[in-house]
Parts: sequence; structure tokens; C-alpha cells
Amino acid sequence: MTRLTFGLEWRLAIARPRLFVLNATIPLLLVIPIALSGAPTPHASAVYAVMFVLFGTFGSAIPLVRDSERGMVTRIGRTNIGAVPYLLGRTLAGTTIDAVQLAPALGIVLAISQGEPEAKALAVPVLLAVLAVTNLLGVWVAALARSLAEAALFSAVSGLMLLHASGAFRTPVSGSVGASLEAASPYRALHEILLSVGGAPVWQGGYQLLVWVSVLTLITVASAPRLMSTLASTRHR
Amino acid sequence: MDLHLKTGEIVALLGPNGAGKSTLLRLLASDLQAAEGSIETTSRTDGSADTTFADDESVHFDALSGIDNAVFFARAAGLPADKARADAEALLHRFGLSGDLDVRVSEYSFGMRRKLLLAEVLAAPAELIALDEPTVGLDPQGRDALAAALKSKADEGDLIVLATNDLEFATRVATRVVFLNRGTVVADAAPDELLASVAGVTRFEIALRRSLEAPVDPPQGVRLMSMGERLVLETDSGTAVLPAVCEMLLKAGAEVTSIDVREPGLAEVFNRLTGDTLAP
Repeated sequence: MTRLTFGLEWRLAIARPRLFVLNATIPLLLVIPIALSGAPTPHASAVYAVMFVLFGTFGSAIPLVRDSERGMVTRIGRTNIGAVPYLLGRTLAGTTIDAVQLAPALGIVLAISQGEPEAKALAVPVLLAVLAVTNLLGVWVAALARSLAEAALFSAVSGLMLLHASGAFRTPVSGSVGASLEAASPYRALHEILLSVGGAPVWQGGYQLLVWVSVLTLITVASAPRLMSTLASTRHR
Repeated sequence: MDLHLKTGEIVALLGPNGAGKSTLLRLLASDLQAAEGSIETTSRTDGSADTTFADDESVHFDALSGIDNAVFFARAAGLPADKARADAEALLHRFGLSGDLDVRVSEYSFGMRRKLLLAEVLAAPAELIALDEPTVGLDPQGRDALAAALKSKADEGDLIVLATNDLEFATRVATRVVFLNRGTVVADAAPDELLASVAGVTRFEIALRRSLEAPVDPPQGVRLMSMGERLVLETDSGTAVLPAVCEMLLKAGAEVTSIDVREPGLAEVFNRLTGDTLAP
């Protein structure tokens, strides 16, 4: 059933080619002027990180709230698909669709930046893992939200707060609470790899990102029936 | 409320708006949890009765075609890909959608979306099929297809429960009628048994331009059922009393806009049982 949901989400994405192309083009239009402008690496990497994170979180939360509001989650809940395969299938599909749509933008960043080839090669799996985190967080954001407006607000706030904690906007003082938060932040790896790609090698490894992917997946699986029930009730709230 | 529903039945839940028909369906479909009381199910198979439910809204994946939607929901119900497609195509053909299989659902009319929903629900293997207002938006062909499909499902041993205000359809397909009023069961019997209680009765429904100022004295053998701008009379003497009824109206100075002579149906049964009106 996870495969069925995964296939459905891809079919829905491909069935709307204009939206699909727009989703690939808009990040590209944002990235090209920054990449060609010679913007300092810390500034450019911060913009890229914001774009990748918000793209993933919004792209997961907003359609899920929309489906909840129109009763589709309730309908899915009446089938034999099950909460876990539905949410996992949707998250997997969302992650891969986001990756394909962001590939041109990431390609431009990698092509124009000055970093080492090793850093550039590592950027692809790091972005995939980050998109998995954003898509999983998007499910939780959708469950907390009671409307599309709330979903947009929560997506932005959660994404920007976690990016701030990851050090994307400032470097925390060593030994401070901020430094501890940075060490545990899911987007630290993204921030570091984008800096490294830009020629400022600070990559310290992505173990915390893998921990976030694993823990968020486990929590989402464990809470899937409750999440589905909450999402289905969005229709009546 | 205490109901015992058996497999192979087509049960029509009838009653005015707010009677509890849709709530009962949603409870049966596990969309709602009962605040008190319980619903117990026994199964032909593994002890849990699978339920499929079509509510009064048609929710689909609008960007996909009708056949893609139907196949998805059939597979989501557990059917293998080949059978899902074959069953979905057969049901869509039955509902007259063969020519629109590959058309996007966003281009479907309201009635076509209702037919698609019913095809999706009926394609799912289930022991309990719950349908809320299934005939809304259906053309005569769709009603015929639905009636045939429900009878076929019931013959296979499925239990079908439908909530409807369509008394003609309920009379046509139901093997059992449950009248609900304000959350309680007021009658529970086969349609023929219920109709037998009003057999031989003829009803005159007379629409007036304005209500009569004074009460009327009905002719002998005629019962006055309700007053107002819609005068309702009943008799056991058939249409033979119609001239006397017309004379009564003339004497009363009534301005008649129409006279409807009706054989009594389930609406009259409900009216007799509760004193309330059910949509004809």
C-alpha cells in the first residue's frame, strides 16, 4: 500500500505539468541571479538553505491540509491502505518529487560554486535527507494546522526557527546554548554542505541529520493512526 | 435505538432531516464513535466486517481520469491490479461512464462524479455497504444501474444500508425500511408490510392560493388530514368521492391551484406513524 500511495502522488504530480514545471522553475529563477552575482558564500548559502527547507515543508504540509479539508484523508482512512503506508508513501513521494523539482536549482549551485568536488557530491544525499525531514515535519505541521493559512504560517515558523538553530543566519558562540542547539539541529548539515560547496569547507558530518530522519520516521510511524484521525477531523474543525 | 441488520438485506433508512440517518451510517462506517451504546458485528470471514461508505460528498482526485480514480480505490480496497481494473471498468460501464473513462474528473458533471463515487464504493469488496443519499444527482439510467448493482450485491450476501429521502427508490430496492424520527426507530418492516397499513387509502392533496378562513366539513367517508395552503384529505372510497370534495371546496370559497390524487406510499405511512411530514 505504501507503493500504491507513492505511485498515486507521482501520478498526481505528473498530471499537473504546469505546476510541476513551475515548481522546478521558480527555485531556478531564485538561484540563478544569486549564483551569478558573486554573493558572499555565507549569504548565498543562507538563501539556498531557506529555499530548500521552505520548499520541502510547504510542499508537504499545504497539500495534506488541502486534502484533509476536502475530505480526501477521511476517504483514504476508510480504505484498506492504512495510516502508516499512506503517510510514509506520501512522504517518500514528496521527498523524491521535491528532489526532482529542485535538481535544476541545485545543479546551477553546484556548477557555479567554487567548492571541492567531494563537497559537491555530498550535497545531493544531504539535500535528499533534508527533504525527507521537511516532508516528515510537514505531516506534523499539517496535523497541527486547522487551515491552509495556519499550515503556511507553521511551515514558515518551524522551518526558519530550525534554520536559525542550525546556524544558517549567524554563528553561535562556542559553548553557548546556541552552539548546543546547532549541534542537534536537523539543518546544520545542509548549512555546512552549502558553505563547503561555496568554497568555505566547514563540513563536520551529517550524523545528526540521519538521527533526525530516523527519529522523525519512527515517531511518525508510531503516531500515524492518531495523525490520520487528526488530519481527517480538519474537515470539521 | 436497537437494530439487528442481516447480510443479504437492503435496508433503507428513512426520516426527515435531522432524524439521525447519516449519523447512523457514519457510526456503521466507523467515521464516528458512539458516545454511548455499541455496534457489534459478526463476519462471514475473519470476524471484522469490512465496510465501504459513500457519503453525500463526491471527493476524487480531480487531476486524474475517472478510470484512474476507480482503479486506485479498488486497489486501495485490497483488489489486485488486474481485477481492480476489470471490476472498475465493468461498474463504470454499468453507470454509463464508458465513454468518459479517460476524461479528467475535474471535467465531470455533478451527476458523473456521483456515479463515479458509487462505482468506486461498489467495486470495493465489503460485507457492509453504507450509502448516504445515493440517488442524488443520478439520471434515470444511473438510478437503474444503482438499483441493479445493489440487488446484485445483496444477492451475493452483502448487507446494504442506505439513507435516503428518495421514497420511490427506497420502495423499489429496499427489502426492509427503517423509519427514524429524532434519533429513534418508529417503524422497521418490509416495504410491503408498511404499505399494507395504508392499502386502499386514496389521498387528495389540494394546493390553494391561500388558506381557508374557516374549517371545512369533509364529505362522508373523507378524512381531513391537514389544513393550510395544502389541504390533505384521505378516503377509503377511492376517487368516487372527488365530486363531493370539489363541492366542499366550492362551498368553502377555496381558490384551487391544483388537485393531486395519490396512492399512498411510504410518506403516508410515516405521516400516520408520527404525525410529521416526510418529503414525498
